[in-house]
Amino acid sequence: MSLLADIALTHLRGRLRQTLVAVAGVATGVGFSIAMASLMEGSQRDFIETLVNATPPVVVKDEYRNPPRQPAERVFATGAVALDGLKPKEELRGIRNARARLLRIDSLPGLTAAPILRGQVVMRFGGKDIAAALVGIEPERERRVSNIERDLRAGSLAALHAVANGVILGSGLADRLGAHMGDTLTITAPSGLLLRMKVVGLVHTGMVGIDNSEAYALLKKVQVLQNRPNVVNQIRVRLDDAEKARAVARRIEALVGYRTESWDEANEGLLEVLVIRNIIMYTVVGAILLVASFGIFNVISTITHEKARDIAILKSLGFFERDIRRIFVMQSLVLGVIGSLLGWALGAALTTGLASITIDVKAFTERSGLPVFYSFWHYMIAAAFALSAATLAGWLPARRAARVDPVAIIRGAA
Amino acid sequence: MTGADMAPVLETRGLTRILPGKVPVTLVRDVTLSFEAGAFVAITGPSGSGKSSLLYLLGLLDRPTAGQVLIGGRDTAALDAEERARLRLATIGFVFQFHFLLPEFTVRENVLIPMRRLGALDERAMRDRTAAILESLGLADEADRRPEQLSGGQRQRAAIARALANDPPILLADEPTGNLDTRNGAIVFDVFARLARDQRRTVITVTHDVDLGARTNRRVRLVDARVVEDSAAAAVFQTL
Repeated sequence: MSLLADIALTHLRGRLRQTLVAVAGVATGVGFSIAMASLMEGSQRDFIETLVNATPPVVVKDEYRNPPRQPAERVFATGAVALDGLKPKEELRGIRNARARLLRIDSLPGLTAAPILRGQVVMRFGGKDIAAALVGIEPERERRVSNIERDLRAGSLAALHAVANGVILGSGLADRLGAHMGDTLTITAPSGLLLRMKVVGLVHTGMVGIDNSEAYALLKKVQVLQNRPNVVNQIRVRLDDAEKARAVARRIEALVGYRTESWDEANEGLLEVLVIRNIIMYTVVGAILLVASFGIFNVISTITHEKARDIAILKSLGFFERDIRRIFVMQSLVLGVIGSLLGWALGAALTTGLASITIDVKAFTERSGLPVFYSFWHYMIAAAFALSAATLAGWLPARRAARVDPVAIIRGAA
Repeated sequence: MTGADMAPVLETRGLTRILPGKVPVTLVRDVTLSFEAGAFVAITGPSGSGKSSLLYLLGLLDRPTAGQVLIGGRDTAALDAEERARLRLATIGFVFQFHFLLPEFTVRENVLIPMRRLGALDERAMRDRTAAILESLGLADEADRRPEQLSGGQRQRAAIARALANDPPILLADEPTGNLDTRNGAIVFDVFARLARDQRRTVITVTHDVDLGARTNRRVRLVDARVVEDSAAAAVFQTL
């Protein structure tokens, strides 16, 4: 072993108890950071996964990103013309020529599209009136675009065809209505039309917002109920790689002209919350590791004070200032490395422990048990931070120690 | 004696060290001395006369305010801190009043430290050399002991062993017998005398023990930061 390492380790052995406390500090910091990061990222991934599964990655809507240009603007594109009291042209809501647009999207590689008519209705059952969103779907297409079939708790998509007026309820919605399979609901649309529909399925996506307020029926029936024959107001698009949703949405929007949102754009608010949450997490984790590094600073500081005479001697023997610095930085790195390794073990143990806890949380998504995510990077980042903090914590006292004037110390000791 | 042998190993020219401050303190003033190989020199004088300060300047531990220190004819003024440290490591052995051995290391390890730092020898040669040095100082049986397990005399001999680790031509000692009884003090002085006489090292020791000082072959006396008496110079005067 190198001479400097030899001296460094000897110093640490001489201060075993303090050394262990400092190592424990780093280990705790690293361990809890890892556990916290895995919990945070686990819940985030769980959330996004549920979000992506429950909502199609890309949705074409029956609206435009920018308000349509009025005839006057179109004619006098560059002129300074102001027309007052102009009534904007009203368009019939819905995607025009939806079938052709759908087929066009469908023909793009890797994309599958399904038409939807989504509208507000009031559901009545057993004296309860509950507002819900009734989504008209084409089961053959819908099953290729969303996970609705997988998320069915009871019944089947095929039953929508088999039963005259079938409806599939979100599980939360069914609970709120008190409706069960086979019950018949009265559904009223804003058009004033009214339809009695039979519950032929229950769907549970895990997204509380969807499960509590959505119901599904055949597109044709919904078009009739809403008095909007042949109208489609959304095209849901599934793609092979959800990560590319944003780019694909842009391309589709350019193609069809209608506002097209990717899942992350549609849920920007929620995702922003995640960003804030991550900032909070990294701040706390950073603080934990910083506090741990105080332990290192403390022990290295103590050693440099205690060993001032030895430092003077080493310098009088012909050791360089950087040798002395290296000795003490090495010590803090030893503490950092051992602390990080123990911290990894602690982190893995804590994460496993957290994963085994079952609790019932219903916030945005439902699940029993804490979602954790094991990532190599959590371990690397925590260790890298701990080692940087350790280096700095060792460097400061080491620099001071290296500047010790041997003459002053030797005179003082004599 | 050959001519090369007579060339000074260590030389000072107009060496002055003033501690800056509101009231500057002159530690050493205008000291010009030269020391040959094999010289055994005592620097004597009352306390506060600048003996130790002069020794630290000779050993490159301190930098002079004015004047020069030449080692082997080479001026050290222009050297940076690391060059001075390297020169010290290879050419100067220090022994202090207090043994200053590293307490966590055995005697053998203490002697090995300067050798390992210099890195001129391989592992085996370092072991052999350490054993030989300890043997010559009567510490062969103490090699694996720690400083705290040694007697005062043994500790000081261990410190000398460490000073000899890199076979330096110059050995500087600051009151090396200050903490020892008369018998052990005499032993240490015998060791110094032998190192100068048999191994042709330049041994310079600060002491205020007049009896021990008398056993050296040259005495330099300092009073109030100045050299007031130098037996070598006196000898020269006598021969004139």
